[in-house]
Amino acid sequence: MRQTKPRLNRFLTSAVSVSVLLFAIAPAAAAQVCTRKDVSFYSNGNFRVRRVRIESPIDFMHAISSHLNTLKSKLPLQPSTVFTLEKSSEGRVIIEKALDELEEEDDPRSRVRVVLAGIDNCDENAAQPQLDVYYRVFTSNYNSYLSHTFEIKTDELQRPATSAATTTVETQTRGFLRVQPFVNYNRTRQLFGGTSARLRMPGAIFDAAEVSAGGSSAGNEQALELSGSRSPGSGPIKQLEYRVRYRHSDLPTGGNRVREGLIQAQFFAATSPLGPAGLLLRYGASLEGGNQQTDLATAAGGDSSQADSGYGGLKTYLGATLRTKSVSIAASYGLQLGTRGATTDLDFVKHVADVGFNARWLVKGKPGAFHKAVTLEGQLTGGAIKTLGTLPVSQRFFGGNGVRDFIESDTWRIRSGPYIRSLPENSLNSGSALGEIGGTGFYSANLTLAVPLWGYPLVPPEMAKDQKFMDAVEGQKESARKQLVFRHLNEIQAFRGLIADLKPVADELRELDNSLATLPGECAEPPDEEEDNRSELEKTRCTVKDLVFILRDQLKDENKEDLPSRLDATLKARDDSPTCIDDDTCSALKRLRVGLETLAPLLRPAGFTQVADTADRVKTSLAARQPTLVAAYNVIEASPEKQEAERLGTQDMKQLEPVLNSFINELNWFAVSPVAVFDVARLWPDKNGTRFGVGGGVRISVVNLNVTIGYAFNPSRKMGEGRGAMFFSLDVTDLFR
Amino acid sequence: MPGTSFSVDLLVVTPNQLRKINFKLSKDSKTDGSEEWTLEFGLNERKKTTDQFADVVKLTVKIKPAHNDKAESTAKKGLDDAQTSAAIAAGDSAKLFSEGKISKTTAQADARRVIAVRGS
Repeated sequence: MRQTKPRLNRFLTSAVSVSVLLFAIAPAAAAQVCTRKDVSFYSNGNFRVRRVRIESPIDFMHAISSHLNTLKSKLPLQPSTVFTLEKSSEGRVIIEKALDELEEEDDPRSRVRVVLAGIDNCDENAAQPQLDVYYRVFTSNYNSYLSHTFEIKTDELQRPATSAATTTVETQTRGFLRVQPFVNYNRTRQLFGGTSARLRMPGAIFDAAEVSAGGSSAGNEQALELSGSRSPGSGPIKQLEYRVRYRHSDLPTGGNRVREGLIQAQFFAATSPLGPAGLLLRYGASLEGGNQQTDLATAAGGDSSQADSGYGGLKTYLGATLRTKSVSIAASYGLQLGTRGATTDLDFVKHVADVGFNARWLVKGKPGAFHKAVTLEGQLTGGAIKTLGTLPVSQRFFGGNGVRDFIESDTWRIRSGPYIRSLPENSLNSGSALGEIGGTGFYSANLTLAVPLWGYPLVPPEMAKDQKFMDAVEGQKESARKQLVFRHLNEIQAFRGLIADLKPVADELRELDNSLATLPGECAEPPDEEEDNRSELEKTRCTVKDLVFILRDQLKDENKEDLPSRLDATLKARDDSPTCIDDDTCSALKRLRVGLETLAPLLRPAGFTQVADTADRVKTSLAARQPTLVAAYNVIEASPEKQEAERLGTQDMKQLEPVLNSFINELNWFAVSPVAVFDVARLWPDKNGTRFGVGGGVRISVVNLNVTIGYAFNPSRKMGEGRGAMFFSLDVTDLFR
Repeated sequence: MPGTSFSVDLLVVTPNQLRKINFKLSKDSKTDGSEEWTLEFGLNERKKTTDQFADVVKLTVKIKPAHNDKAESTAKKGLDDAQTSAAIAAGDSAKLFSEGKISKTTAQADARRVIAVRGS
């Protein structure tokens, strides 16, 4: 039921997004070609700017679209101004700074970003030559919890969608308070609407406070929630979410009504991705208590249920979620120990199991073409209640085209009732001899197939075809992978021996440092790097001094664990090149040796013979030791352990790479897909037995937000039931496979 | 669709979540027909994972024109092994510079070396 709250406002924002999109892709002025490869031709003062565009395929995730549009007016190049390359670059820098500021809020773990400035539509032959200026932004943040779970935090979708929707809401979204109206319809609840307000509380124990209230002629629902999340790090608690929530509802269940007031304190945690497959385990518990009233007291009493009672309960739940390239799977189990009020007597035990999968097969297309991904979604859910005393009616299972979740979470959903799209919410058990008071056992299975027929890619075709841009993204991916590989170098045990062999070097550096410290005066920073007018002795001495300090710092005991990733720069670099000194590409040790070789002859005439002798001695010693150290390093470089570090780094990269690949190869700004659905559900007790739902509809996908509307027929229609029911769903495609 | 300038920017947070390294390479075309490559090296730190990152140092160095090809290759193909190690070492130098232990000249030279050490 909880998921119905923001449905319509999401739908509306999606619709607005589509409208904005359609506007954005409306045919522009006839494109003209910039014929000159030498872009300085366009910077000769003759060309004026026709228009400025900022393109970003990912602004929906970061709520930056409106921000980027605001930036446009601050860029140095504006329509009708004279184009210069320098001003174009200045604009790029302004955009980068704006992205930096936005990123501070996101606190990303790692990300790659490419910002490309360029020109197109050059009207070179007009009396007043003109051109268009564009900036293309590609950036991606990464969060390992969100990238491995079956569900994705809906809030991530709501915020940017809202900001993209209307400028009036924009200021609220970007501030601490967000207010959103919502409207929805289903046959059970009728047309209902309301408002939710969310207050961000950065720095507090809870990150946000949210209050929502909605109602219709059929029922009403209100909720107040304090929620927070933390990412403590690795191990068994990679991600932690917690919330305290009060909910009151008064909703129909066919001829019955269920009124509830419930307060919940809940937490759950998720592990880091485990194993090569990145299996993520989740677990948690919640404590809840409240009261409930229903209209069917007699019926309830006939099945050991309480029509009006208090309620208390402890829920525990665990699950696993896994993603492969094409399939996401989530399996969850929930156990609820409940009482009929403030008592320690156990009145019922509820079990719920829920398995869902989402398979997605991409049909390859041309670069820049709309991406066609056939999706098949399935869900199998079952549950049973063992009644030991009496069972509050509100805790029984209710089925239909809307079901309650076992826990309150945006990132973990466990269905707690039979889902069947051909019957309205809470009306599956109309055949129960007891009346519509739900059941004590159920199962349901659901399949949804969608085949996209039409759409527009997220990464604009001109961007996808821009080889320079795509190369830059690929280059950044490789840089990120290398960084991850080098982290794993620090775990290679074979380096311990090599680091031990560096002990004499550390001793010699200490001796050299002490000797250099006897020289009078301090090293002064040159006022300008280009105009270093210090004497040769001064320059060399200061360079050597810095090098000694850096090397000694690296070789400190407390830094040794991180030394392997620095050893290439310290020992090897490009020493094999005869021009490495001139190119400034030598290793730190070699640069030190060369520095000492230069320094000693400069020190002697100045009267610092003892320091010069030390410099000579250390230089000779380092020259003797370095080849052995490099040989040992090369052995490790060629070892299976290094290969393992490569493998681990590549594996780590698999967590980041799918984000990038999804943007480029999978996501559409929007897509339209026909949908086929099939459901089967059974609730006990219910004399109508197994029920079916068969139907079809259409899915409109805006980036990864899917709005599915359709009709499911009820082939085994019973007395008092309709031919079927409309179904409407909003869900999120997992981007980060 | 000629490109006039671009930047590639890599941000990595260390496994202990306490250090954030930012490596940015940008290319600008000039009106006189020349090209300029710039490397920016940023370091942020925090004491606890729940704290906000604080700026430690940001170094900006111009790449020597002789190394423009290497900068182009780096932007296109990413860092190679030698460059990755040099980048990590440059991060150390940036930190030492921020603490006043070594000179800015040395820290900048170490940052510049990230591009220069590229193999091909």
